[in-house]
Amino acid sequence: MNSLAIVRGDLRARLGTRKGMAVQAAFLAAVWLLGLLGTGPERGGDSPMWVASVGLLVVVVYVVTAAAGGEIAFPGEKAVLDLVASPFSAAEIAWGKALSNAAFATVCTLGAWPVLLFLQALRTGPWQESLAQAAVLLAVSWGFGGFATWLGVTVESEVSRSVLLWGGIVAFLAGAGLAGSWPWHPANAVRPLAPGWARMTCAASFVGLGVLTLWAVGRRLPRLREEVHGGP
Amino acid sequence: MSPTSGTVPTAAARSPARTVRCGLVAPLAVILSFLQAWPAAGEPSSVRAALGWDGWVRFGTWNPLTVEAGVDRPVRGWLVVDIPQEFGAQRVRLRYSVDLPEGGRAIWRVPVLVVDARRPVRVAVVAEDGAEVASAEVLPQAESAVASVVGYLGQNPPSPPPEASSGGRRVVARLREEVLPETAAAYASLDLLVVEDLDERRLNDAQRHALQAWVLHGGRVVTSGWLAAGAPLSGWLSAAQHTGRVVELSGLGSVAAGPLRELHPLPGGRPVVERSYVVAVWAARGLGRVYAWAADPQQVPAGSPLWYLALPPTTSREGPPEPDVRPRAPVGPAAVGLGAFAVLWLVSLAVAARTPWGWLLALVVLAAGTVGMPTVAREVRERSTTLDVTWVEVLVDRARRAYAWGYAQAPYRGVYTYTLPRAVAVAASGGFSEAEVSFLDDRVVVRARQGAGERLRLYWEVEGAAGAVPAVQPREGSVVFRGPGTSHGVVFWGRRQAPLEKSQEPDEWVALRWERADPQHPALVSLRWVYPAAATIVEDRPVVVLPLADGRRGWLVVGGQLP
Repeated sequence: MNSLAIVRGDLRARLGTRKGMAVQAAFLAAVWLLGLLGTGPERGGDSPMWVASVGLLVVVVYVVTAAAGGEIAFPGEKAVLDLVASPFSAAEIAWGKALSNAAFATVCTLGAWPVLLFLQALRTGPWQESLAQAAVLLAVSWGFGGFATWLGVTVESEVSRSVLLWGGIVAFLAGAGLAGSWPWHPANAVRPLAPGWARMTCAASFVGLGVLTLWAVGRRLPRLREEVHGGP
Repeated sequence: MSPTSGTVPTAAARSPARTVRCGLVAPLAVILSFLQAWPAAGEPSSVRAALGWDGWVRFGTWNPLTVEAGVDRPVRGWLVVDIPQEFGAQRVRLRYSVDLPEGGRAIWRVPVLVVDARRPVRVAVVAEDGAEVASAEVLPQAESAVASVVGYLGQNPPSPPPEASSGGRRVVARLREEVLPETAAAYASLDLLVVEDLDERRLNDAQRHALQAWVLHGGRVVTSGWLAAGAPLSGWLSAAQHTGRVVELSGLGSVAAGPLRELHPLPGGRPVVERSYVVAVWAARGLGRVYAWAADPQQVPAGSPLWYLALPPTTSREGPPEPDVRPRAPVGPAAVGLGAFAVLWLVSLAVAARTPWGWLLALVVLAAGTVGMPTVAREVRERSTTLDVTWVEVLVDRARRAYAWGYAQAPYRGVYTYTLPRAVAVAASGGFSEAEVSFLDDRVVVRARQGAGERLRLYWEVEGAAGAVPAVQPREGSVVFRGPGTSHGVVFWGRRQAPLEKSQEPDEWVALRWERADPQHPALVSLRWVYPAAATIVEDRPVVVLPLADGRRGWLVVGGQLP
């Protein structure tokens, strides 16, 4: 139940506050713009829908990761370090953060999904295709969210944390594309008509990343508590 | 035959057992006879179709398709004509509405553009629920494809030159009145109609009007023999009057030895004289011509000048150059649809953050978005493609024919709907996999399945009676045009052209300042899209060409009177 209290608190801060509303408004404006970009006519082999899909992935990943890592600080939101001193157990905190990341990622993905549905319908694609794309968005953003949460409890320096977080994400999303054409890479798996196995592999990998990092958070919390209680 | 010598046994001679057998056989025979008579009592639904002129087809242009359908139950639905396109990768489906009572029969005479000789044209009557009532297939044989067709109504077919001017094979198609088309467009594959016998009672109004419209817009008819005097169409087709006198002749170049009727040209008729005999008379009917031959068609040898006078040059028609149509992204409806969802979603999240019941509102918004997005997408897709249409509308006497070429490029893969005016003939070509053309009472709807970037080309023809037709009259070296405003009209006549200038009379314009005709003048070029032999038409008579004034792009062509 304490995990759910963390989820409620986080969602209230991320959606109910003025800053939360402003972030959501900016996020939905970006999604809207990407939707308009996706209506561009097909020319040659470059589909604007591909650009829009990758753009939506980047936007959703950015908002969810920034919220999870504290890069966007919402008033009243308790970060993991704030919860260290609370009476909640380490598992409850880790579960709570995992669930709040999942809930926020779901909210952001649901905000972007109708745009994917619209772009698919525009090209008479099946609606299931947009659902599969949304599943990739959800899994990847939750996985990166978990990674950001873990960095928040592992790296003390804010600058280093930011550099590591965004450097890692940019290097992964952009650099991996340069290294080779891997179908399971999120930038490829989110494309329209990507193979199902590639999407499954991508989603499973990022769910694994999320589970792994939040497990690591749970492991890190007792040590942090010791540092807090036994520190100078 | 005496009663006793018959083979039928009398009642006294029948044994009881035999009587019982006969008693069983008789009802059985009655039942059997009913069973045998069943198909005759209720004719099963059927469709019969005939393509081309007595089976001869000119590929790449309109050919007549006659379909006769009978149904054994009430049918409300469509007559569907499936026309395969080249390579079989495309399909054009024409749909005409059907509403037949039980036992009803109907005949359709429609023009179809045939381009594939290897696959059959399929005709079916389909009910509204999609159930096929009856169907038939017509396979145009490759050997039935010819370059030129001369239609003949009569008993003894003539022998025109066997080769068309373009080099292909020319044939004579023996026709009956019943198979004559109901649209002028279907005559596009016919070069000349030779009429020796014509029973107008076997023609309906649509067939009569179609034949007249075809001639008025450039068609050619040869009449010979004694057409029914007083019959309106026969009279209209006659260029000369027969006096009833016949002379036996030999040694003429245009006609083989035999009887030659004496002809008197009717007003406007121009005699064709050989060795002081009138062998033929021709007269203009609109942009077309009618000929009266003094001899039977069989007497006119293949090399006779009469054939070359009557037969038009077989030239293929080319439409306007394909415009550089670029699909545009319809941002407006997309912005509204996506924006409405974004705003509602934002509001629902704000409510959800305050009260758990707000999540229900978010679910409702999400459901509305899910349902609404395909509708928005359909709207955006339909608006993304518009036909770029070029028109050439021709008015001759009171017959109006409009020719239109429309181009559209699909920005996305999908089904696109194009609404055309009430056309009698529609052809689709270019980039599409399936095109369904529905001929409705007030319009024609084309639904084409296109891939992203594919360019569709539609060509259609509209026919009908014109309302107020402008008058074009030659007068003392000038041409007078009476009609509504024409600021950029040009008159072509002979090898000259002159701009139309306002005269002092209301609604009257005059062409006075003649100069050498520019063969590349856009108006003349557009006239050639419709009449490849436009030069010969403007040679005979003045033709006024002016830009269409009702928002459409293209030209209005008004045929003038012969001087």
